[in-house]
Amino acid sequence: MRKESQESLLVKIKGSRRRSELSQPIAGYLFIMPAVLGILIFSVIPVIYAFYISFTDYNLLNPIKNLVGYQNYKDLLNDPLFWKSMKNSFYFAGVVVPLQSALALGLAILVNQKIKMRGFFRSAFFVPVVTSMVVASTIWLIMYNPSSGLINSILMRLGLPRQPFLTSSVQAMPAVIVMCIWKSVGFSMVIFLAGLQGIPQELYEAVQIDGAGKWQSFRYITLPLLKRTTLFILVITTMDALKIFSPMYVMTGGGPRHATMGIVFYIWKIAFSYMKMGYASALAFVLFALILILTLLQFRFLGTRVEY
Amino acid sequence: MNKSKRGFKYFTKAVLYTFSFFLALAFITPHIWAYVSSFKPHAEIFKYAFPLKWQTFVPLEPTLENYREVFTLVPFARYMLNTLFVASITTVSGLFVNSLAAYAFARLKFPGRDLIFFLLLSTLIISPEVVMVPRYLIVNMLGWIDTHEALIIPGIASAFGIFLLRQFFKDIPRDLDDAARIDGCSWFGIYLRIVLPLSKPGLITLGLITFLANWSAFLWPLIVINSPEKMLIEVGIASFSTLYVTFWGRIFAAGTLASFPIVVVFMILQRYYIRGISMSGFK
Repeated sequence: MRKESQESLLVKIKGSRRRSELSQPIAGYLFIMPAVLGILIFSVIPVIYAFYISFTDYNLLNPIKNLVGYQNYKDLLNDPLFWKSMKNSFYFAGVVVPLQSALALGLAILVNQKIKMRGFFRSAFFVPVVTSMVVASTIWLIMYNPSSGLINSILMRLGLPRQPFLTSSVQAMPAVIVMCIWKSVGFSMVIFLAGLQGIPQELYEAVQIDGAGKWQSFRYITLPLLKRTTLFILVITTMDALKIFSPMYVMTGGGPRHATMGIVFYIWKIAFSYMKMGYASALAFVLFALILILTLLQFRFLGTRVEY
Repeated sequence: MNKSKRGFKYFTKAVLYTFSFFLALAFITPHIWAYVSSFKPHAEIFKYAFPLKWQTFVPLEPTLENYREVFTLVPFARYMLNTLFVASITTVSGLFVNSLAAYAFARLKFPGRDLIFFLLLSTLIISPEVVMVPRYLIVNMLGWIDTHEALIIPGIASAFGIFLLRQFFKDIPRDLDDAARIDGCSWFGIYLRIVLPLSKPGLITLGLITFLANWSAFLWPLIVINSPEKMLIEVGIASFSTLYVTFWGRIFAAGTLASFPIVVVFMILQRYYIRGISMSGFK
């Protein structure tokens, strides 16, 4: 090959290997080492460690650690709070993922139109993404205030009754959901936008000549060609939805009556309020397995090849 | 196109425009309300809280009292400095470590390269929330609890960062590499003098994403840091909001202080961030 012959030519000319020259494989391994080491120590080993701890009754308040076999996993199956938090997480994800993704697609199509000030629109929908989850949750917490929050204030202006929002065990989760969608839809919108802009205009023009309407071109061109982008967004949004923590911590503390306690919040509580590291690790492992399975399922059902 | 069809087209355009406008307005209202209220004295916020009037959105007696209180009641300046410090160090170290690895994966040949890269990508499924407990225990063993090392070191290596940068590096033409090799440049030299300078957009993108992620970090700093002197800004705001729960003006001031730098940086480097997100969508 060209490169090899150039190098061998050089070697012949110079007569020997360049000094202090690393061979390609050694350089390769050396360069990836810091990163790989970091990921091994702080991502891979923790997973293995968590697996191990989940079989012990490790409690930070008690220095003695015993192997207790499957006890933690048995406890978890019988733990009503575990099931409640799982239900909440699924409720949250089940609403957020389809709703947010559909809304994001709609906004992306909207912003993709050739209207003036679309830069303004794009920024307006995207700014919530950039501000932090904690600040967003704090602002919405106040907005949802049952007596003088902005939202109730608007409702009153419209002649509607005040709502308890975060203080009601029925309205709390939907209230958190609305905030989270507001916060994150811009992110998915931007990805959809990139996907939309990757669809060649000629395709639309071609079917328009054949008499296809807007809905048909959406259904037969836009949607299929966005499949890969949609899969990516669904996977990311699902993972993020299952891992949600800050809004619940800031806005409701998991309440009222555990109505907004997601699985990560529960794990955090068990680990850092009750110090039950063994049990918390078992919970975390269940979450990990869940995310893994869901992601694989999504790839299986939505990851098909797209033909033009 | 006949007249009625053209009329219809303008009509739909106008409807679209109006709808988008109100939706966008609804989207930015929370921020505007919070920002404006941060300049309102405490009593005024509640006087005009309901029913909704135009005064709800305008500070009739603008004041900096809330901001002053934020800095005096809690060591807020310290929080900001801590977060700036941690975020900057993590970002810069991360850029170096991850770009070096990305360069090796994109350009160098070594046995097992693609397999290792694939395995690396698969660690993306391991999220911080899932490993927070063992990570905490490991960090505890290292004696890093309540130190900034605990915040910085685990955040440096990033599979996502390596993936993103490798995409950027692959776009750089190989001829430059070959030319440099002939001139006797070492592998590290090519990285330093050719690949890095040419991939500024990619580096800025990853740097921005990393910096923002570190600035708004919450769960990990919450677990790992206990003393107020080392606290980061998001945790600081959360505890501030619990402590001064009815003092909306102060809370909004704190929130604005925390968001303002991010929003400004974002406005300036917007296209990099958005491009970075879009690029990762094309796996």
